[in-house]
Amino acid sequence: MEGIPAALRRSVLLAGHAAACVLLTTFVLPPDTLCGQGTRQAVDEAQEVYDNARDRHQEAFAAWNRLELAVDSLIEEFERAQGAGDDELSDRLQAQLYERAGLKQRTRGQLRQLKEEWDSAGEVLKQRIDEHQLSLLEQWEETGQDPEDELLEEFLEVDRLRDEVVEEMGAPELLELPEMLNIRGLPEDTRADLERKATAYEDYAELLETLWLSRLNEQIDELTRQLQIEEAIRRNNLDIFGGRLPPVGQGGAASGGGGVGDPGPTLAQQIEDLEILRQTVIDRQRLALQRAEELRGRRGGTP
Amino acid sequence: MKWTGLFPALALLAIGGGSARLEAQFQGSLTAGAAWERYRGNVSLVTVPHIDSAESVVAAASEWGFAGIMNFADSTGRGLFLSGEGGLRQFVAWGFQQRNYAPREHRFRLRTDYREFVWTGLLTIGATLDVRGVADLTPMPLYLAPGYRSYLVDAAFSRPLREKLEVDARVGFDERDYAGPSVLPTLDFLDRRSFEVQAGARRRFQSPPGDGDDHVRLFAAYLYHDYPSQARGDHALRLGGEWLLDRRRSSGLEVSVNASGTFNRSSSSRVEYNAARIEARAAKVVGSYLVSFRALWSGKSYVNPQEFLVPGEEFNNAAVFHGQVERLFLAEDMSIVVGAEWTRAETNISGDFFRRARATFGLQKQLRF
Repeated sequence: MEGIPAALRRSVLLAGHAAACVLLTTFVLPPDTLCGQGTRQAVDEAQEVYDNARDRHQEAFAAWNRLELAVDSLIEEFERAQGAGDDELSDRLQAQLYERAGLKQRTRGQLRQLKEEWDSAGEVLKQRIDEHQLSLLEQWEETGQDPEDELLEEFLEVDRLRDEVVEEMGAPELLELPEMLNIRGLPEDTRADLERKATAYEDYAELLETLWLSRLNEQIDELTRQLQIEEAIRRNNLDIFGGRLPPVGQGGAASGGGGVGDPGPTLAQQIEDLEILRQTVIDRQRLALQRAEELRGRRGGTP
Repeated sequence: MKWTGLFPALALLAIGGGSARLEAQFQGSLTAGAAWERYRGNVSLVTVPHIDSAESVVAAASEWGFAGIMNFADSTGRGLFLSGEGGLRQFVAWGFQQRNYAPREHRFRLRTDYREFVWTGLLTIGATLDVRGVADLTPMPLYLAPGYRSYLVDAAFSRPLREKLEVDARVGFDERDYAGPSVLPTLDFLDRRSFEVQAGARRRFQSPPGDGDDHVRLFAAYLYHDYPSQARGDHALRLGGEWLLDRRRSSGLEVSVNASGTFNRSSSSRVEYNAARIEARAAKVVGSYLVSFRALWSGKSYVNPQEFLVPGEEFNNAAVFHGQVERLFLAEDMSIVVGAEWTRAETNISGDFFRRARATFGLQKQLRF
């Protein structure tokens, strides 16, 4: 921001803000969108919410890492016990692994929820900072003071805060799909073992349904709705037949162009990505249920 | 059709230049509708030699249109974008003194953009083919723009200067050839070749841009227009700006305002003028309805006194107001549109005017694969 002439920066921001307020007022928008009063207190309150959300996520993330280490350690022990032919220890460790796997899935869901809360708090904080900066610019405009004063300090301070928030939040974290279970029925498995393994597959399929499929469907529906709106607006902006304006000449008729950096139809790309992911989830779910059915079909084994 | 070879060339450039996998997507729409229009006015156009003493006529029209954009992009951000739109409109007009007219107009436009991230910025190379045709061209006051073929090639580069601030530059050349002498010789007066170089700066209000595209963009452009049949060359300086409020950041309200001023100086002193144009658009989603407004004002002031109409420059000012309501999210990705438009243009030489009122109804079907 420092490199832009202060007068130009103020003029552009104020002109945009003033026009936005007039238009938004005309169209009766919720008051906290763009014309809200941007005070330092509002920034501080949003920052407190943001800090709490970030800390909660970081605590949960640390717990997740500890759990991953514990599961890795259990897997190693399990493999050693199997290698040593210690069936009793193997069974006990296997039961613990099932338990930890369930805990891991639940923790993954919590972690995702906390990340969403953190992202949401970050967005609110950034918006409050934007509003506060605009408010400071308006104060400059009203008082006509030299920018090299405490208002500028305040402006730069919240600007730095904004940079910190952007850096902390980073790129959106994508949690991977839970790995496909790889449990097989063994010749020596009892009916109870087979039942437990089949149930593990069913739990996995249910997890995919509740944690992934329902959410993916919601996201795809919402993006499809947004795409319809975007396409309708794009279509409205087109002059399909051309030449509806009477001839006023080149000077008055042409606009300034633009769209130089227009990234294209990103909503369609997002929908396609989610549809591919949904198909992967459905395939895994179907495979898990198929394996559960196969295991149940073999329950005629040792009681 | 000499420029049409650019489209496959750009496609080869995009597809053949690397091993990254391309993904193709298409989104578009089909439109079928009807319109009722009423025209009034007494202005003459140099390029429409037919004269009818009627000062008021009405017309009904059936309208068929399509619009679509196809996107081939790979994981590196490199992409080829094909967009096109077109339509057919058949009128039945009443009220002329000489005879009843049944004009038909068709138009299609095809645009190819190749985009690649280079030198920490986005490079875009594009080409456009635009064709329009009119059969049974009517005298005034039922104004229909004449048919033409137009070719445009352009290249643009934009790059971030710092967070939320981008600069861009663009050069473009286009040629527009109006329907030939066998149809209407006076239309050749409108033939032109243009060159434009433009530089701009865009200040975004969101970061990253995917969260919304609110921005202000200011630009300056130099344009040269050559009208060979008028033995005229125009040099123009255009300054302007755009403000966009993205609906993702404002409860579904999208607003854009474009304004520009042009200083046109010519080898013919008759067409030296200063002009201004401002256009505002607003669209708001209210439940399942998309409500849209558009207003445009365009005007110019000649440097020297005008005594004759100049081809393609007949009006001194024009204003358009358009509003429509679209019912979205019907079954099968269909929507229904009802709209109205009012246009008025005036010339200062004789005080003559042109006015059009228009009401429309249409069905639209969205396509995506």
